[in-house]
Amino acid sequence: MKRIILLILTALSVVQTSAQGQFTVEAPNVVATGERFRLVFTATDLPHETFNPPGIDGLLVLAGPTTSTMNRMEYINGRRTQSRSVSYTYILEAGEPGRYSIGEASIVSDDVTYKTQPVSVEVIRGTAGPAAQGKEEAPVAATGISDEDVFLRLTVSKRRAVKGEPLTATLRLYTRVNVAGAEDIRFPTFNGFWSQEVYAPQQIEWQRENVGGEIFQVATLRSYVLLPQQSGEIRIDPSEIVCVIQVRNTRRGQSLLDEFFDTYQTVRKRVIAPAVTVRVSELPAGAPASFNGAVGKFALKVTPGKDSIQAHDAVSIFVTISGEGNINLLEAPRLQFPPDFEVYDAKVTDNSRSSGGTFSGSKTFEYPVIPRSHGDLTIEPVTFSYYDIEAGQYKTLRSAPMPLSVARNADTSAHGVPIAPGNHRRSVESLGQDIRFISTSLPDWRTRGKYFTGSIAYFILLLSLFVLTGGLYVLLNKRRAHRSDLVRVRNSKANKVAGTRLKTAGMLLKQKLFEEYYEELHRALWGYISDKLALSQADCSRERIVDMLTQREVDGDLIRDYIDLIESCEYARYAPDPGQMEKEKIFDRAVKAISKMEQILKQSML
Amino acid sequence: MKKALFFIALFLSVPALAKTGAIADSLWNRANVLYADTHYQEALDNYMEIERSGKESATLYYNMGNTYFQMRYIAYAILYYEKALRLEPNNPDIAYNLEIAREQCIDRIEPVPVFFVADWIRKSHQRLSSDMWAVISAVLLSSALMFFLFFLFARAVRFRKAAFVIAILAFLLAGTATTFAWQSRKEATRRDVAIVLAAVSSVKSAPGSQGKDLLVIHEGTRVRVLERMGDWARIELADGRQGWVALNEIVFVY
Repeated sequence: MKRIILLILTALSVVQTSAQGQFTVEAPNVVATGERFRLVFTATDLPHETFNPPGIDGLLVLAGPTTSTMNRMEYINGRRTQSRSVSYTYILEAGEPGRYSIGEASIVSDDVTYKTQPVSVEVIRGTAGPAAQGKEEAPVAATGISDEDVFLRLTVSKRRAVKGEPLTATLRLYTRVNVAGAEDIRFPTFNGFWSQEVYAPQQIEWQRENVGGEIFQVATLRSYVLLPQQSGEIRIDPSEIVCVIQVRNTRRGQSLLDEFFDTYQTVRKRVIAPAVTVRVSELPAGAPASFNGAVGKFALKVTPGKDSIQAHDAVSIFVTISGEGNINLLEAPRLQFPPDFEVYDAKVTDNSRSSGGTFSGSKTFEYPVIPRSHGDLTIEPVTFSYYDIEAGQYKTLRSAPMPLSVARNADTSAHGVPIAPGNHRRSVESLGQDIRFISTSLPDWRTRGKYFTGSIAYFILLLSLFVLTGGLYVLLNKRRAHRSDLVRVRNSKANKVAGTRLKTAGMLLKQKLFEEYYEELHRALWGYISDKLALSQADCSRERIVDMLTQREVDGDLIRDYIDLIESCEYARYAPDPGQMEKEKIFDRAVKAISKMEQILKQSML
Repeated sequence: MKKALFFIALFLSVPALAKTGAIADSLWNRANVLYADTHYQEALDNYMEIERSGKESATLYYNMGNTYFQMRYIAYAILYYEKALRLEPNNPDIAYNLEIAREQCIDRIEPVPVFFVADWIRKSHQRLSSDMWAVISAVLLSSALMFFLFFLFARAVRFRKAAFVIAILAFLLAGTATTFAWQSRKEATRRDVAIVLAAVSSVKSAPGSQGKDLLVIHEGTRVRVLERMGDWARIELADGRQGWVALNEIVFVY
């Protein structure tokens, strides 16, 4: 099957390039025993040729090689093309059944040798097909055209495929009768496939083929490349054709004329190619992230348009994927550009062709980008994954990272980007959203379900606070009681102590020991007030005494008088003698002041 | 003095704290390194070991949530973020990641707006953990008692006045802090919030399979559990709709 397709394709390519020198061979594939057929070698545009005949084994050469020359001249749009072809024709007859090969023939033209491929001819026992030259056609009844005489077949290169794997479907008409034409052709619709016609001849070209020991005329009507787009059992619906078959009248006329001129009858027959199912399996699991449905075998090339540019200049990145497979259906791979790039839609150039039942060639994606800031940037490697049918696994291609140095653009306004001061500022764009990173600092571990609130320790703490306060209260209270006792003792003794001191002072005055007298008087005054106010020796100062006495609502005059007395006692010790009268006067004043004070403080204490 | 007492009490209540803490620390560091190297499964194993040992911290649950998120177990990620929020309700990272995880959920439920005063009160006691509130209340209480003593024993009238006012204020504050401590403990240990872990869960009108299907909720949805009956729980969605789901389809946050 594949060979036939290959043959067709090579024949096609021959037609395409007929302008060059060509040397071709033409022979039927299959012949019946005893059938005569032609073997033609054609040299096109080969001047000064010398033909070296091929070796022909097992086939009887009836005639040949006979040479015929054909010159052709064409004017197309005023251009003249001329071609000359020489053909060498053999008439052969097939003998015994079997496969015979016709060796290569060569032709030497201007010291260049052109060779043909060896051709093999299969000889089978049986009747020759209807279109065999020079053979009488077997009379067939008009109604007797069975499904075995004419049939249509859709052949698919593979019945099992993975999604995206290219298949070839060929619709061929087989006939043993004389098919003059076709009407009402309904070609298959390939639901579930992406399909492309790869062979659609303008005219039906017949070829002979051995089908189950019979020679059939076979015509390839259409050939498609199919790419399955969904998985499962995909049914290709039947295709139909109405054949116009010419049948020679079986009624042998009475007249002699009928013997010479055959009459034909046109019969229409609908032939249907049976439905074909193809089992398409899903691609295996575990596709890499960059897989986007590519199936086949590919190579990846990434080239930047320029290596170094200026900021705000446009540059193109070319990603070329070449190889074979469903290349025409490839989608543009995603490119990771540095963040400050303006990226435009990729421009796609598809250079793929269908050949040999698959697509091959290359597809180029051009990504126009404009870097908006300068620096030595790197375009992330392009990854492209495909499913390799032969290896049965996914393969990932990865390009090298592309360095791109973007120079600072001094003259930005020249590139259509007017930059006014302040206009350059813009808000920081969020490119993506992701969760924040984990916390890495050592945490304070706590035991699950254990809370300080409500725990025994918590209640102990609260209780201890109250207990502590209570304890403090008791302690402070005791101290205060003790202190007030002390005060009371001093208070009650104060008068007595003062009286004793005053008495001593009076004695000293009489003995005329004036210095000691003033000292004793001072002590009496000072000691009385500090005992009364429960002041320690350290706390005792004149200001403090004034303060406290004022607080106890002692008369201001009395306070002033008292302080004055203390001061005059202090002063008198170091001053010159003021005289006896004055000394006695102070003594009286001191006695009066202390008794007055005693009266007032007694009231206030109570 | 009182603070020292508190710490003594704390240490007494958590024996052998230092030893298990050291093991947890080494597991923690290893798991963090594994996470950074994108070995999420191994990192998760280490985190789970810490969790099994009975130790916890908001950051542990946060990291576990992150690991589940990276492994695309969104419902588990949400569960662990919720656990983390229980311990540290005011952590902005946890709230942010929880929001992102929620966006990947199928169900989009508009929550019923909360009265702002209630929200404000909740936010104020969420500012600190229950334990911290307890400590603060203890400090406030001790200062209140001290000022009270001062009030009792101070001689000058104006000092006594000031001490009285301060003591009253400190008592009030201590009372508030104690309330917060208990409230936040209650909230942290309340078994009323659950996350749906089943991929699809149908909410029925009655417990048991005979109930009529009311809604279909998907994994990652947060529900409040109002009551339980056998293997069924009566739940309420954030938008107020209620129904019964099988208990094995939800997991409690606490």
